[in-house]
Amino acid sequence: MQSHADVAKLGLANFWIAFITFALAALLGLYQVLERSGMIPQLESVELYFGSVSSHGVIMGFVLTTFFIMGFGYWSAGTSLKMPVWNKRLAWFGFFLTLLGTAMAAVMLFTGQASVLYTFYPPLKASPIFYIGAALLVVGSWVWVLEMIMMMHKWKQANPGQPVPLIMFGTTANAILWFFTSLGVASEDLFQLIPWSLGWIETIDVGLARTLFSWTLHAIVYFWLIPAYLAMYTLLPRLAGGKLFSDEMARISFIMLLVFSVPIGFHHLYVDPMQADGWKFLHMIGTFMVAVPTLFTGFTVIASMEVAGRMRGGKGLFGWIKTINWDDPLVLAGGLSLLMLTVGGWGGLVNASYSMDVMVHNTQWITGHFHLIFAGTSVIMYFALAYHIWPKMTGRPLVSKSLAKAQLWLWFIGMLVLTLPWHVMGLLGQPRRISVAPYGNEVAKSWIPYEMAMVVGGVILTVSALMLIVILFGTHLRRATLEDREMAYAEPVEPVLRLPALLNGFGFWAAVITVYLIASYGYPILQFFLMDTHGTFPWSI
Amino acid sequence: MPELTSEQERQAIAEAPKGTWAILIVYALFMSAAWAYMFFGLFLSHGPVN
Repeated sequence: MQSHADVAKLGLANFWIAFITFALAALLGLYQVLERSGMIPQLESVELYFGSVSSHGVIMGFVLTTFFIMGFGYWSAGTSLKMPVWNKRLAWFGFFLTLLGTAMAAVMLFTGQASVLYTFYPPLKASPIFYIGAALLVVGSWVWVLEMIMMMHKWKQANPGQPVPLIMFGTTANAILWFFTSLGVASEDLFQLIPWSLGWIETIDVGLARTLFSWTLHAIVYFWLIPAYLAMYTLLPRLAGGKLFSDEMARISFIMLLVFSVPIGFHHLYVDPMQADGWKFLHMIGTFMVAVPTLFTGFTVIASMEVAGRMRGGKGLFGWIKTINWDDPLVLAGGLSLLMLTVGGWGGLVNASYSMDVMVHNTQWITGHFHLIFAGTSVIMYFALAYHIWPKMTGRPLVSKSLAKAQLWLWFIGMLVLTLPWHVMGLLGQPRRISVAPYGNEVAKSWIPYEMAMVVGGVILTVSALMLIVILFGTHLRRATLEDREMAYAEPVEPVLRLPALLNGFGFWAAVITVYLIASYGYPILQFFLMDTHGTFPWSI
Repeated sequence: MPELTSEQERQAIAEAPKGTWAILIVYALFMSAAWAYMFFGLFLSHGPVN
């Protein structure tokens, strides 16, 4: 149990930072929908709005996610491998380094010195402390990457020929994915943004910065999603009352996500002039390839639920759906998450279609899409994972299962009420990243009913977010003790006794990603050093 | 929830996931139709930007 105690402390520390900052960002979200709607003129402030949007985006996209995923990773590694953290001091050092970076960035965000949105595209410029904080956050998270790789390596050494537990396999895939994908933003931050913000260089190559950020910008979505998929593969089938349909299919999906999701970021640059059409087309093909492991995941998870429903007596083509154990918050969240993935995935196909993207590019459609995929599909599973794991980490039972399920339903309803009108507003021409829309013409007037719906959605989501915090605090403060603190993972229908090396390790796949990355990003980055820069040094130094 | 015998449980596990296939086929049709509506109904019919 010592290994459990260590990972519980590390996990809880990470989870607390994740969810406290989340609550703060949720309140900012409420302010933003109210300000953007124009309902309360006293709230209107361009400076405050963009400071808030930047803080909301950075906290949700980088802080909530990184800390939650690190905490979940340590917990999953310790409980599935049944071994202590590889290097406990280093793990805590990584945690505090990430926290220090977060604090530095947060101070700059909250004092209006980093209103550069979560994409921090130049020529928007923040304080150097913000960029240094962002760099520390990323470097701190690399410590976690190293810990995950080493724990898997040590376990394989101690258990030669044995299949790595699926949750650890997926967690390590995510750690490797995060390392590869964060190299883009880390390079932009270290070699462009920090020197530029410190005044060491006078100008900055915006095209290169956007290209490097695109390297990170898509695979980061899978970094956020993989913990949700892991919960669906390794916890949900058992909690639903059944077994995992296929362990091997899950491993293939994680490998495909790892390989395909990193080198495809140019679909964020479809209308940028600095990259050629051919490269964008190739990245579009790669983008559609990622739909394959997503479909594999959808199939395997739904089939696992069908197995569960049938093991609980469900009959007929769809009769198994009602016999699934929906009473469990994680199973409920899994169902709601898949529904949001369906709608969000459809929006993603539209965005990814090279020609059609111009119809929705930089409109509120995009905001609707990524909120459905990130805040909907991924984050609702983070909540449910917290409800499942928190009691086992603290030894105190969940304060109220009913309240937890109500919170999940409210999040689902609020997310749809918020984001579906955003999709419509995008098609009606409303730009994203605007604070107010006081144009007064006919087009702007057509947005008004949808803006009202957006406010309702924002209020529902805020209530849900605050409920989450109440439930977690309530659980933490309980005096009752939980008897069963062991984590039980789903068993596959067909037990996995042996696996080919390619489905039990990442050495070969890391080499494949490296080659794929060089092929897809090599020349598009190199061109910035080769092109005529009109008398200045290349790379705008 | 009815208690299944071990034989019934074995049969339930061995059964092909017909419901899952049905859901995914409906999903694929929905996605294709929705994409086609966006492309042909909204995008192409919009015409060139003036």
